[in-house]
Amino acid sequence: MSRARMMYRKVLWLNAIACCLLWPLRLASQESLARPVVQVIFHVEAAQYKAHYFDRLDAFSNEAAKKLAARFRVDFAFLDFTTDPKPIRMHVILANRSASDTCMQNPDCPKETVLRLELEQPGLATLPNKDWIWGYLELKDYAITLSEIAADTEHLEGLAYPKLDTSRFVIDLLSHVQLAPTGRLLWEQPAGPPAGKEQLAGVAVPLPATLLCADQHSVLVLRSEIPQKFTQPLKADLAVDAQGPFIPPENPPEESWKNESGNLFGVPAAEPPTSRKWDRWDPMFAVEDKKQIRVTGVFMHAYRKMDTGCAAAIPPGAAELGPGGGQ
Amino acid sequence: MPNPPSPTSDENGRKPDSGSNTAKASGEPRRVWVSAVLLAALVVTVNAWTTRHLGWGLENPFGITSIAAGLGLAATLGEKFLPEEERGALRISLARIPLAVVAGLWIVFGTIAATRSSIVVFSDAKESSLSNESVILTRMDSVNSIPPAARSSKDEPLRFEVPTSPFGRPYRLKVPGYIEQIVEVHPLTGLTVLPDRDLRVSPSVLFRPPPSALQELSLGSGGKFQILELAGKTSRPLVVSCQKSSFLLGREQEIPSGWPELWKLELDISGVTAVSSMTSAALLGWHHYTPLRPPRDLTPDMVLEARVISGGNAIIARARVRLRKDPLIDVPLVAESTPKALPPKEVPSCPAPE
Repeated sequence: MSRARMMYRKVLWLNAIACCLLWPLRLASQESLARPVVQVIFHVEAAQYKAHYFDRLDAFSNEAAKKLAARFRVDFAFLDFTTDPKPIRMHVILANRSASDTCMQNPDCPKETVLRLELEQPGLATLPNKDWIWGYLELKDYAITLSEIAADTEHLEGLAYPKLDTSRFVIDLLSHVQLAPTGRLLWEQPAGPPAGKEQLAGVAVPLPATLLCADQHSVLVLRSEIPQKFTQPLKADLAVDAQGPFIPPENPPEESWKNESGNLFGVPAAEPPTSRKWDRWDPMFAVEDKKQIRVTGVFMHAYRKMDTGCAAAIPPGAAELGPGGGQ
Repeated sequence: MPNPPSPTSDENGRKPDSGSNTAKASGEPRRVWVSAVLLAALVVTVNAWTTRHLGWGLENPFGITSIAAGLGLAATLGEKFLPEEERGALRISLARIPLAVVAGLWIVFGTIAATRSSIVVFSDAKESSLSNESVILTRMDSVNSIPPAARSSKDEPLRFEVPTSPFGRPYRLKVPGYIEQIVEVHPLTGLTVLPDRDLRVSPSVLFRPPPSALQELSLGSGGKFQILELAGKTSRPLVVSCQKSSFLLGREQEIPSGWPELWKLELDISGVTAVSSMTSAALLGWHHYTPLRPPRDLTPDMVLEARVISGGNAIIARARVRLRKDPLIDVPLVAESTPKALPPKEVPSCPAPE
């Protein structure tokens, strides 16, 4: 009895050690499944804020960045937002806005207070929100009484955040953040004879739908290189309608489809949104050797968050599925 | 046969000099009268002088004149009605004061009156009373102040007994709320000072923070208003306030009625009038100033700097002014386009609420 107990203890110890040794591997596997992380950095250019918070400007900026990052994390769940240093940075700039330069130079002249946005990614040009404004305070509210960091950041969050044009935010800025460096094109033979060209069943993004929390009506950009007969591969940005988590058929054309189980699945968009110019799918369908097609990136163009909540929408049987099946 | 003595000859048979006797008889009363008048005049004058310069004497100079006149009348009546012997005795007593003595008394008095005088300073109509320490009188050639004479009550005017000369002597006089002034003290008349009539009020300054700085002075914003006195390269903090208003440093007084119109124009230029609520807030804030008392009266040529310090310890608006003799000047603070950092040790704290 005591020997059995000792054996049991040894087994427990071995298990614990094995778990500890495997922990980095588990972390690495989780990291590969992670959403891109965007660092939110808050800057203050607005005269009255700079004057009021002068020696506490960093503290105010940090607090505002934290609040906005938390809101972005909830509302744009296909990306992760943090205030920790990351290569991808979203600069939120609290600034004044006036048509007159003289007014801009004069701290007494009433001006609108707005939030400017700039997306900075390594190796890419910085993207600002050029032709739309994230308003915060109107002209008449210029003489706002600033007090303490907590109260003022709460006011900022409470008043400014609802004024954010979320669709423009995604289209103009967040859509430039790559969700995944690749995506899988799922080709299948058309049902019934005669055997013809492979048809595109859909696209699987190598990230769980629950992780991206993207519901139907989200639109993805599939950036791909389509081989051409006489020229360089054609670079195309193709619209993909997100469909939710991928549930592989019982007898998939390829066994590896099962690996995509739970990942965000999409189909070529029948009516892509008009907010940008899209390339056509036809050149891709015309390619003989589908394996020659390269997917170079997947981006979110229009985002619709899962109505059911991100955690609730785990597809049936996800727990026993492959690496794409869990969070 | 001897001649009978003439009725007018004396016992020795000398014939009296009727002419010289008559002259003596008429000369003595005249001398007595001169002495009496001179003495009476001296008494009246001395009384008036002591009352004026020393603050004591017979209360009513008219009364003492009446007494002197009454005495004169009594003497005249006595001469008419009293017997010769009694009148003679009286005459002897007055005649015993030699005219030279009376003249000497006049000379002594004249000497004193020509070299001593006084300055009497009354309190301002607005002020309740002047304290002994508040009014400072100094000689031109000395820094030591002359103490005022003792008073029986605080409500009495302050009296300075000072040396002078027949042609007057200058002194420096400083009354609280007024500019230090050189006054000429002449003998006999002395000098009576009614501050609001005779002195120039010390300058006051209305400091007006700009609308952006006024906002920073709102309750809870943590802004502070500070005035410093600059002297060369050094600066000395004078007052601090944390009210959302303009600030009147010095004597409290009415804002000239034309100023608000000018302020409105000022707001118009800076574009503030685009927002009516901001305009109203600024105009009201400026009109309802906070009175600030400097540790000492402001004087012409004093250089002051006013600044508004934000809750984040930056100077967000400031103005510098050299005072002139104008009783009230309007000094608008200018908002800094780039706030200036203020070292933590220089950041003032708000005064405790009264």
